[in-house]
Amino acid sequence: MDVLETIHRWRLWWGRPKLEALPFEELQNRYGEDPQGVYREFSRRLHKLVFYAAQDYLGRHGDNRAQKDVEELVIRTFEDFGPEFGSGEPTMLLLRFANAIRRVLDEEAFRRIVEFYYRLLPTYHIVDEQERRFLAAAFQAALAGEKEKDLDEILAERFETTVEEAGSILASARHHLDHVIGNEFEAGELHDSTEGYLP
Amino acid sequence: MKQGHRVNSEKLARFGFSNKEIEAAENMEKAGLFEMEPSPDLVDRTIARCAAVLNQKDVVVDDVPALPAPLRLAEGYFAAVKELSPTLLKSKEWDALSRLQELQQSCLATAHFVHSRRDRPFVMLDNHNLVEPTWWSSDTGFRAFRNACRIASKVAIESGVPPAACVVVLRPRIDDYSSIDLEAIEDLLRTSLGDVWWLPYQQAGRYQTLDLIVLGEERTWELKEKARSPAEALDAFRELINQGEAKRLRHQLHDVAQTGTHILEAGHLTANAAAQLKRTDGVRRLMDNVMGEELVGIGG
Repeated sequence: MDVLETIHRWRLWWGRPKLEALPFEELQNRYGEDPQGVYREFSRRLHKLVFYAAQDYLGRHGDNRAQKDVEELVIRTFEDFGPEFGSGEPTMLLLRFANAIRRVLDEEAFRRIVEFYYRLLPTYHIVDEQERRFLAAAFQAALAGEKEKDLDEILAERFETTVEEAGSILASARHHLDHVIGNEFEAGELHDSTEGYLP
Repeated sequence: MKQGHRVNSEKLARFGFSNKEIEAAENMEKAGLFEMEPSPDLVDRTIARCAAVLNQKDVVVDDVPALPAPLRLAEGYFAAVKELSPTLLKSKEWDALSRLQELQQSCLATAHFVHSRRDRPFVMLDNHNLVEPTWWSSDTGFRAFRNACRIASKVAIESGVPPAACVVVLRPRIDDYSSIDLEAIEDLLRTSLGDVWWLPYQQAGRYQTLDLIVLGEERTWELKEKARSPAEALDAFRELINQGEAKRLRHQLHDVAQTGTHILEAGHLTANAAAQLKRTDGVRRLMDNVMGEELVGIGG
């Protein structure tokens, strides 16, 4: 590889946002370059919500909710969607994955998580990185804390802030989410790509 | 643990989360969904299992196959049509040619409807009493239309819209089907990408003698009598272009579907249908059961 080509390639990569910062729509556009890396990021963002949906599904259809059975359903959902990840309108990525959740699980299981699921779409449009990461993590956890800790305490620990800072970042992020929903999308765009759940 | 809860509603409200969001979290907590958390290696295991699928090069559809060839063909076709004489355009040959092409073209043209209206590309009433199931695989005209149907459903699926819906009106008795018919029906089930419902003949009411396709926003194709051959069937289909009528029929077929048995959901066999199709003579058994359900219903 000659020097010019090296510089050209380097320039192409320079300054590009990391996968974890990309909105869902742009995530799909990076798929051709690095299928596994992109799909890993996609799974990272959504596996927890799918896990909760799978628990709901098994609770209604199975005798018990064994961890391994729940996780098998999560994996199967991502496996089912894998072949179509790179196809179709990038703006409809979450909507298409919602259909995969419905196929492997069912409508009721999807409805359990829908309030958090579709809000992730505009969340990744929040400009402030810290706010975006806090709010995404909150929605991915379906706004739940742990046995001994509230959500802000967990986020503070995870992102190394004080609990007060975490609360204030979260409040600011939630406020900015409404702004993003109201101003960053063309009329009807968000409505179409979230089955009408948003705005 | 804060008062035995994982969802601290007061705090969430203070952070500005809406009642809807908080209520959804509380409902999940009540359902016990936070009792378990995913294993730390779940994403790794997911990616390991998906690796084979993700490495399939044909998965990446960003490299869309070159469109110029079909576009050139279409341009050539329209240029030729413009130059044809009025006499030729009124001829039987032209009528037959355009009829064959129209069904396919109308089907493909539903892509725009799918994107703009976000509704199924087409809904269909496939009547086994009027159209032989074997024609879909043995006749070139029906095969071409079936292929166009698959493309229309793929467009819908890729866009996150429900695929085509098909309500199949069965024949009155299981003995009305030959083994070749049943093989053809099994093949249709295994290759369809849409939603399929089976409706027993006795339950079909006014649809007992009707075959119907509602394409996109306004086109309806109707066949009202049994044809002796595939060519005769394609000839006998009558087209109506009327938005109101198409909308009404879409709603009606949706209602009719709910009275039948759901066999395929977005190209996947429903659990009940899949279980029965695994057995030898599966289609016959499945059909017999669907017909039986109806008889039980009448008896009750």
